[in-house]
This record gives sequence, C-alpha cells and structure tokens, in this order.
Amino acid sequence: MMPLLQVLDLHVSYGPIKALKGISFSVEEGSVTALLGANGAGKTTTLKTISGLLKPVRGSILFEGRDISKSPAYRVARLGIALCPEGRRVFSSLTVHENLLAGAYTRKESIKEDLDMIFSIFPILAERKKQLAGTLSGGEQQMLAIARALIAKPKLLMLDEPSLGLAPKLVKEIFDTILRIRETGVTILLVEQNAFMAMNIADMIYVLETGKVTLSGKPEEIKDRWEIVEKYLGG
Amino acid sequence: MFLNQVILGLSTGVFYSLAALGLVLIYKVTGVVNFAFGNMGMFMIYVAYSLISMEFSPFCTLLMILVLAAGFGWIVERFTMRPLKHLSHGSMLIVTLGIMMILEGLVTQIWGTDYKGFPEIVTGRPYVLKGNFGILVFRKQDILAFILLILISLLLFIFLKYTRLGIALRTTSEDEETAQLMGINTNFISSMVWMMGASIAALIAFLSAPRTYVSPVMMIHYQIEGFTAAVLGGFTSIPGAIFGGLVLGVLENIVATYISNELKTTFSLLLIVMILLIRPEGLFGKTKVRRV
Repeated sequence: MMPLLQVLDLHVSYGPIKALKGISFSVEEGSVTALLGANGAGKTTTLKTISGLLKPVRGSILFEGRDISKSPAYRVARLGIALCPEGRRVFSSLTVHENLLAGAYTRKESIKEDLDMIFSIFPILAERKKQLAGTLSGGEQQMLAIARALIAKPKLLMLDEPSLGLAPKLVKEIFDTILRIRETGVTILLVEQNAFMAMNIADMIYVLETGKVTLSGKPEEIKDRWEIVEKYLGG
Repeated sequence: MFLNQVILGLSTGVFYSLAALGLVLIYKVTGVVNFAFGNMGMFMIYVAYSLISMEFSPFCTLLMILVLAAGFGWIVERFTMRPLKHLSHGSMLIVTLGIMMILEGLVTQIWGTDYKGFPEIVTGRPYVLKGNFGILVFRKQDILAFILLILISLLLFIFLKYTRLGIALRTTSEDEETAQLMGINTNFISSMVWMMGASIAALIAFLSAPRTYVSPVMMIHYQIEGFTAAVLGGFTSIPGAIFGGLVLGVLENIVATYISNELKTTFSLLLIVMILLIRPEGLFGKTKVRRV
C-alpha cells in the first residue's frame, strides 16, 4: 500500500545555509511516525516545508500520491495536512472558541459535534471557551494548539515539539492525548526532542542529524542501538 | 455657541473616524500605513464628478464609485503591495507615498486644478432644534454621514466578531504564517482590506466633497487627521479609530473657535507628538504583553 506521505530527497536552504540535505522518509496511514534529533537537525524545517511555509530547493513531497512541494501553505492545509507549530502560536487576541473556529476554517459542514469531541478530549478548553487564548497557561495553550489543528479533521496531523517547555506531568498528559487522537484514525507525524517519550508511542522513528536521516526503524529495532541514539540526541 | 461647535466638530469628526478606520484596517492586516488612502478617494471622486456630469444621479454614482474604488484597491494591493511583501513594510509604505503623488499628478493632468462643485446626496433645509439651550442646527448630509459611520461600524463589528471571514481577518492580522496553516488564503485577506479601505476613502470624498469642493488636495486634510485619529485610538483598535476621529473633530473645532483658526492643523500635529510621548499605545491600544 502507498504511504500517506512520502518525502523524497528533500533539500531546503535558508539563503546560503543548507538546512536539509536530502532527507527521505514516509508516513504510513494510521501510524505515529516520529522525527527525532537534536536542536538544528532540521526537524522543524521538515515540517514547515511539508506544510508549504518553506519551499524546497530540490526533492518532492507526495501526499496521497500527489506532489505538494510547490503548493502554498493554505492549499496544503485544505488537502488535509494540519501543522501544530512549534511554540504553540495560538491566536492570543482571539478567544479559545474563536481559535477553534479559525482551525475549522476549511470545514464547510457543521462543526458542532467535533467541538463536543474536542471538549471531551480537552475538558479544560470547554471551561475556558470564552477566555482570550493569550491568558491561558502554557500547557493549556499547547492543548488549544493541538485542538485547533485537530478540528480541521486532518488526514495527517503534524506536531512540532508538543512537549516543549511543559512540566513532566503535563508532558505525559500531552502524550496520552496523542495516543487518543491516534485511536480516532488520524495519522500523526511527531517531531520531538523528548526521545524517550517519542520512543514509547511511535510506530516508526527517523533520527535526523544536521539535515540528514542517519538512523531509522521501528522503536524495538532501534532500541538495540540505543547508545547510538543517545549519542545523537545528547541523552 | 458651544453645543453647535460640538455638533460641527462631530460632523467633521465623522470623516476623521472613517479615515482612521480605513487606515487601521489596512494596517492591522498588512502592517502598512497607507499614505495613498486619501488620494485614492480623491481620484475616485474625480471619476464620480465625470459620471455626474454624464447625468448619473448622485446616489447611483455613489454606488458605482464604491464598487470602482474596491476594484482600484484590489489592483493596488495585487500589483504594487503583494510583489513587495517579501521586502519590508518600509518599502511598501514608500510605494503608497508614490501612489499618492502619482494620483495627484494624474488628476491634475486630466481634470486640472480648478475647484469643482459637487452635489449633496440629501439636499434640503437643515433640521433646527430650538430649546432653552439655544438653537441647534443639523445639516442633512451630516446626519447621513453620521448614520453611515454608525452603520459601517456596526457591520464591521458583526463581520469581525461573528463571520468566518472576519475571524480569518483577525487571525491574519495577528499571525499571518499560522493563519495560512489554518487554510486561510492570507493574500485574499489583504486584497479584501485594501478593497474595503479604498471604498471607505471614496465614501469620505463623496460625502465631504460638497463642502470642501473637488480638488487634487481635497483629501490631504483627512489623510493627516485620519492618521492622528488612528494614533489617538491606538492604531490597531477599530473602536479606538472611531472614537479618536470624533474626539479629534470636536477638539479641533473648539480650538479653532475659541483659540485660533490657524492653530487647527498645528493642534492635531501637536496632539500626535503628545500622544506618542505620553501614551504611545493610544487611548484604546493594548500594551503588548509577551509570555517569555
């Protein structure tokens, strides 16, 4: 079966600086795929390029078999790829409810049931519905950012460092949430620095190092080479 | 009499409010202060002048002009702003200055520099209110302008608060990149605010032209005062823009009546300096608080 997303020999540069030097990987439908790596390995760049915010110099991105590497970000979003960006980036001057409406911008049909579903996964957001997103705590903002991506009913949900800057208890909560989302049939592409957590929930892992994939495989296959992984990830 | 001066102040303040509204809308979304705003309206009013000389009724002309202005706004955004977007807001701002001057030159070439009369949409004797406070005079065209301001403000409020496109506009204004991730075509949103802005400029020109006469410099005053009003209101706040315009109109008229007519423009420029020194976020602007 054809994978949902296929990245082939992707090269991306910021001016003269080469951020991605030909990475390839694929994401199977219904799986959780994790991209691991240290700071500056190119994880965020990869997600931004898939979402259309950055344009590759070379290479292709196939989503459901069609090349989306030249599509503008809003078109990619409309095809069913949602990115929950690094640093949450909630719309702080909008209420929680309005943030979710913004997330559902591409949806033509009623989103009432989806809102109920979102509020059952994130009960805190229901409580804070009318509050400005800027007044939420860091953890609540992260949940809102995930919820906002989720309400678009994406086929592929990309999460960029969802655990960044959160207390350990919240990190666990976020990862539990990711597993619950996966149960609803959404394919997930996860970027993480928290390798240990990612190892626990991912079906497939790619380790990035300075713009290249240096190691890939199922968690149990990679576990044997854990020392190597540890070296790459800095513990 | 004082109350009449307030009413007179409000009747010019309405145009300051509308001008501030147009400037703020474009600024909020694109980050550009549109110096061509006034002259876009001025250019459209010359087109309107020609249409009226072709025996179109003022009302019919107004409708046509609003649509034409929107088209004009679209062209300006699509062909001068969007190609420069990747450079800087500064370069876009300079281009609006260029457009401002080009339009002035163009109008002078086509229609000349003579002042031309312009009809009112609603004519007739003004309403007069007598009471123990004295006599108050309300001109019909002023009342129309005031009603339109309220109507536009209300529609804009509903649009921004409750419609899908309005929410898209606010997200684009806050964070364009993330808005794109939501599937929002932010270029379309920019086009939209330029179209709205140009239509508002044309409306100001159309309603004020009977009093100021049609001339290449007719909108310069509204450009400056609209800018001041926007600064007064915080430059990103729509209620601030509306309130700022009305307050400015009244204050200015009081200065003109009780202190000196010559000080009128000086006053508003002085006001900009003072606001920026004392309260740079304006009366309605929010101080940006960032989570570290």
